[in-house]
Amino acid sequence: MGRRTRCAVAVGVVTLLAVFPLLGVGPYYIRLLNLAGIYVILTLGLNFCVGMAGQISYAQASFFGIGAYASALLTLKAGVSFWAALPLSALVALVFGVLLGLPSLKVGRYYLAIVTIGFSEIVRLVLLNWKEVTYGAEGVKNIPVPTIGAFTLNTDLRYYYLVLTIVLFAVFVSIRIVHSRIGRALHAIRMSDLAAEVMGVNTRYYKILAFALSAFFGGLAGSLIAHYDTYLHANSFNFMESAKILCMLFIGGSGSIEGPIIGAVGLTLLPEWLRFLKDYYMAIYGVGVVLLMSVMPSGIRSLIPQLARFVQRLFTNKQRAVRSEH
Amino acid sequence: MVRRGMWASACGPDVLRDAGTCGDVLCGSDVVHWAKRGVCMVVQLIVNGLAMGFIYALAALGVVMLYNALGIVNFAQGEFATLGAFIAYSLIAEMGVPYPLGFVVTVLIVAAVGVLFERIVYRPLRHKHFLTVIVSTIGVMIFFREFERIVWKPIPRFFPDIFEGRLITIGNVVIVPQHVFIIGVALVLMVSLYLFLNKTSVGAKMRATAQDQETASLMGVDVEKMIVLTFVISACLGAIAGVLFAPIFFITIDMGGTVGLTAFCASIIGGFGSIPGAICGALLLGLVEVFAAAYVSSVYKPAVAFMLMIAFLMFRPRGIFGEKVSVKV
Amino acid sequence: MRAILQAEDITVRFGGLVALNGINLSVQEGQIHALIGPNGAGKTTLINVLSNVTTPTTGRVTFKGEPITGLPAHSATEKGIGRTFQNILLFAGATVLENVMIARHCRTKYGLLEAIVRTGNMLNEEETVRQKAFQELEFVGMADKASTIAGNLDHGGQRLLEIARALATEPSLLLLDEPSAGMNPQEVNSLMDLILRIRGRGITVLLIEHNMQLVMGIADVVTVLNFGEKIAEGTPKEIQNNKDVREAYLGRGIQYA
Repeated sequence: MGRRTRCAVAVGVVTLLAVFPLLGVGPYYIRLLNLAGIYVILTLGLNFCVGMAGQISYAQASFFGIGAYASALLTLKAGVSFWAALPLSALVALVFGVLLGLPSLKVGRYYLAIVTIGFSEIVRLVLLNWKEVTYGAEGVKNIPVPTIGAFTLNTDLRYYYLVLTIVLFAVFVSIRIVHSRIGRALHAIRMSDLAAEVMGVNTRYYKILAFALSAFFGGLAGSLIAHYDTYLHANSFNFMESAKILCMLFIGGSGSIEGPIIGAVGLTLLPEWLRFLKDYYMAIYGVGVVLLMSVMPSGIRSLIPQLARFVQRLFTNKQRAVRSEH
Repeated sequence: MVRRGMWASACGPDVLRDAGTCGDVLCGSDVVHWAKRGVCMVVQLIVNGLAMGFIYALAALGVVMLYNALGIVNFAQGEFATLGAFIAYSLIAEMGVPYPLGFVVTVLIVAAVGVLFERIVYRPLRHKHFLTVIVSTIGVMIFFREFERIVWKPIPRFFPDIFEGRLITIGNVVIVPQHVFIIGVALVLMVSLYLFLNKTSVGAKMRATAQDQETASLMGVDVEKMIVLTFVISACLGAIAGVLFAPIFFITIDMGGTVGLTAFCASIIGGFGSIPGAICGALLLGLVEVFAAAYVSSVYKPAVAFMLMIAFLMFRPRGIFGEKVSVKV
Repeated sequence: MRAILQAEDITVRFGGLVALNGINLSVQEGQIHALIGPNGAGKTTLINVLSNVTTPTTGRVTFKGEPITGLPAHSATEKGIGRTFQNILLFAGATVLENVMIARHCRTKYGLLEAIVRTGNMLNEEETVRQKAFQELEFVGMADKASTIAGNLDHGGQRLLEIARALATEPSLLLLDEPSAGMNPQEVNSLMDLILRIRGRGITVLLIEHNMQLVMGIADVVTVLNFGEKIAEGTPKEIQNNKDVREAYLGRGIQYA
């Protein structure tokens, strides 16, 4: 695909996404799309750390939570506007990301997994018990809704455009990083830590950078959820939430850009389409994850080339059929 | 009620159920009693901590045996404990099966689940990337929890106390029989496991498999069978931990998850891969948790294991017993 | 002639095991220097020390007059020490071209923000990365395999790719750990030619080899290690006639090819 075509496709997709909710989609579905968008940001973030650099992290929900609390408390207690709180809370999360990145220099694999689980548990307990700052187990209530002048983003549709903007930003940044020396360095670390180091990659720096980027995206998503739901509780940012984001990443296909998007959107909308499964949905979902990992370890993304070939064949066959008719 | 609250807040919610009866011992009014009470409390906390420690130790043994044999850490290990607790609850409390029989049947059922786990989850993932294995175990964890939610509903369950609320009183020290029972059963199990691994031919084969699968298979060991057996033992240890644990805690869907993660922390503290290390680490954690909850703060109790583990990883990464790992280029 | 690399009194202990014992080694600029010795003599450990993958228990290494001991491995690469691995360590899932492009990392400078904004500088650097990577692939004769997945190459191809990748880091000293292992005689011949061409580019080569035909054919200096100690050093001729060396090898039942 040339540069022109890529630009055209991008403009087309963005226009479609911008116009789509205006075509009579109910507010409930728009809410789902907003949540899907927030998960896209979270999953793209986790992708830096787990997908690209291969460093396991069970802490994405913690950065989500840290960002959400930072943003909520900055607006509520310090009177900061949402538009300043959004980047600030991402930076707060980033600082914690750097902190969590440090152990990854010393330990790997299962050790790192348990360290990140420990980190997220400690974060959750602090948010839950530090009453003076976080309102403890009551949760944070009445978080202000973002406004632009006199215009309030108080409907699902209005918030949709805010989420869409941040999602596009996240996708853009991800694409640019993947196709750069930074993306190559992260990828090299995932494939072989030692070989990357010997080929001149400062693996310590890039591991921490990967955690920092993950956390930054997590913080952005957190700020978005805080001002969307206007209520926060520490227990929503638990281990299972991190596990959910990890599943989104791997079901979609880690290491790519399209994978995390497919995973996050798919797994947010899937429960709606599979409503008839009722209580059994989650159990089936668990089995699905296990099966998918053994049958298709690179995720649903690996179907795309096959799908493309299938469509192409369909197309050429039709052409042939048309030609033979003449 | 005041006394009850005091005791409860001192030991954390998990010993809430012992509260009413222990209270009497604790209500000294004069100075002598206060001093005695301090000593009594320490003794009681030690017993309590050791009981918790042995539960973690059983689960940690399962973690370490699997790791040594296959080089994988099963993050879903704790789910065997939850499943064991729920099955035992149904058999013993709901269907009225006698305790010993219910215990054995529970362990057998979970052992069968262990075999299925090996077949369905582990076998297709052999030689796959470590991250793939981790995500797959998340799937297992979700499945177990949802299965339990469907079958047993998300209501915390009380497991009947087999000692019917009786207490052992030695002087001023009051001990919960279940704690002694846990320590006893765990010790017997550990000794039998030790004898099995070191004194029987099957045990020798299992150890050979853990050391080097290729060589073991060249020596005529049926490696596949040994791997299945390792899963079975590891599942059984989890189930036993769960059943023993059930009467001290409410049975909830995520109770095993906590036990499993704490067990993993314990094995790191002990020195990953070392069996005596895992046991020592687990006992240490059990004691530290109970004492921290009593004297420091009970709200951060769930974080104690993680903080201790992170401290060990930073200052003594090889743990209490572990050897330094060197990377071969 | 001057020494490009100087190792003084290198000792490496793993627990109670002494892998290297007081090794002194001096590599002269522009030479092909071979490191031979029976298996377990400590050759790879020495290469690991020289490329800063392993920190020696005692001793120091100077490269171009600058001490490098204790630095992380990537800064050794940055300073101009490239290496290959005995147990091939490629980025197996990436293409041949990507493997070499990754190795250009330390010769590019642009940062995160420049990558996101895509500045002119970033685009220029990327263009250079691509060109240089292709050049190195052409140099080792693999340009036609640029889009092959590295893990799918045959053994000889993987060894060559390791060399191309190391060359892409622009080393002034190249450490080759058994480059001919698993190659057939024809491939060994073209490897000898390749090593000579590398030297022709002004790159000093230090190589571990078991293939005596290769060592005797192209090495200027040969150092012999046995049980972690240096037992001999000299021209290939001198080494061939050295009594200790013969004993070290014949004692193990290996003869010169």
